[in-house]
Amino acid sequence: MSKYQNICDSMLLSRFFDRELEPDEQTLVREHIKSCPSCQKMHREHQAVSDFFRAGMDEIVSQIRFDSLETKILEQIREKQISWQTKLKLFFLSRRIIIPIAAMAAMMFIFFSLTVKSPVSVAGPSALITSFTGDISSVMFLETPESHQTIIWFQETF
Amino acid sequence: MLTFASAASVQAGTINIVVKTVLASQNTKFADPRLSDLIRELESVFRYSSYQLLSQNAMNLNMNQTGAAPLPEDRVLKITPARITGNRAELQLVLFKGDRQIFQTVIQLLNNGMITVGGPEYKGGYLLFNISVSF
Amino acid sequence: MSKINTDSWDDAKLLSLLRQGNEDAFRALVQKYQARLFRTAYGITYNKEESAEIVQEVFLKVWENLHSFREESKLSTWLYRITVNLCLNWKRTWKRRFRHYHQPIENPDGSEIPELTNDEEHPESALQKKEQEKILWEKIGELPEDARAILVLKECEGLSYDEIADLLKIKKGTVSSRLFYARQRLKELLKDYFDEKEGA
Repeated sequence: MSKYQNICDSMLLSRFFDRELEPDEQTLVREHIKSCPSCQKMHREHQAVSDFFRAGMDEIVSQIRFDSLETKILEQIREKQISWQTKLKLFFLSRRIIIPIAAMAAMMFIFFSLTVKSPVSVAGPSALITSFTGDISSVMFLETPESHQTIIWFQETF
Repeated sequence: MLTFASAASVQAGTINIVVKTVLASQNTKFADPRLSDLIRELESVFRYSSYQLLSQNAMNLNMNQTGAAPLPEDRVLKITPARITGNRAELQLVLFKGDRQIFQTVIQLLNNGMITVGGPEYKGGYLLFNISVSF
Repeated sequence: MSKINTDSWDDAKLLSLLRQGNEDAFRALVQKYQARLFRTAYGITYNKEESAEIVQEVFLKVWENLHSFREESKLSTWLYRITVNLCLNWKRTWKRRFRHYHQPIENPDGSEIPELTNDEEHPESALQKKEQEKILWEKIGELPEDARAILVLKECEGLSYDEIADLLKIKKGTVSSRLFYARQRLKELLKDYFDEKEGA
């Protein structure tokens, strides 16, 4: 242990607390702490920080309903399985029905694009913002990911 | 100055504008059925559990004519169409709270498109103003 | 949902059953790891809803990639690695940045600030303490995400420096120093709180 000039080194102690030293080093530091008030204080602080962090995390985890999370996960897996089976079936059916489906899809697209007004789905944003001024503390301009509907989000000053 | 026009009285060269005022909050789980299309859009960005339609104002405006939608807590949204360029209508939006102007913006909104403006805190949630146009 | 008895299943047995498409084995995997992965995800994202979404995504990825898992690392390490990577990439999406921006300052994550009150205390001081702890908990959230990742893997999951280094693809010395500085920062943040506690 002569390699350690100073055992009261906080980095060394941190590794000791985490049991990351070699066994002989671990023993030496343990013995040292017994007679060193400053290292004992570091030990207490370390323990307090760990306890605070762990207690907080445990509290969060205890609020979660893992039964329903498990159900959701299994449902997703089943959906994936079904979706693959469906894709496979469609693949084999596709040669016979792809042309009628495409024709029907085209007709439906034309029909709905003429009759359904909202929300419109476009490649660009629904609104271009030319200017914006105001007595506000912040503003954000956003687009919804799929149909690019523009959103302005602002915070009023008080 | 203010015009509250009915959506039914559509005239040539005019713009139909609908302003929906929505309260988004996390207090309860509620999806207002009158907002189903809009909620689907909003849920891709926001994470509220409740969307409630508080009011709806429809107006039919000529170019440079100003319409106003009364909003909660003494707010008013004034809308003035300026011109139509291609498939977009240029609108000026000005939000007031009492006598104070909160912001003004000029937007070019797609025909049958919508924009949502949100932010003010209200009854434990946030107000969203959804503006849609057709011409 | 009923619990699967996995007492006699080690990871090798579990993997073998999973690869045969055994649904009970998949449920057992979920039951064994979901809380641990959630805690890890929460430690990084500091957001319950996102953490739950991430855990779902982890199990989907596991289900899709079971056959390509080469067992060069432990099953748990593989799961933690997917979780951490998803968490760190998650933040790059504009959606998440916006959601973070959008959270009210006084209650950044719904009502999920941990309550750590002591029932024996006077209600008023307990309330003050709770408020103080809430603020501290928010401050911990200001630590860099990679530091929180190491902290949660060490403090809550009890992983060794070697395991964390392998999982995050960083050097063992980096794990040691990042952990050290994360704890130093926490000590600074919590100093007044602990001094008061000791003085009380």
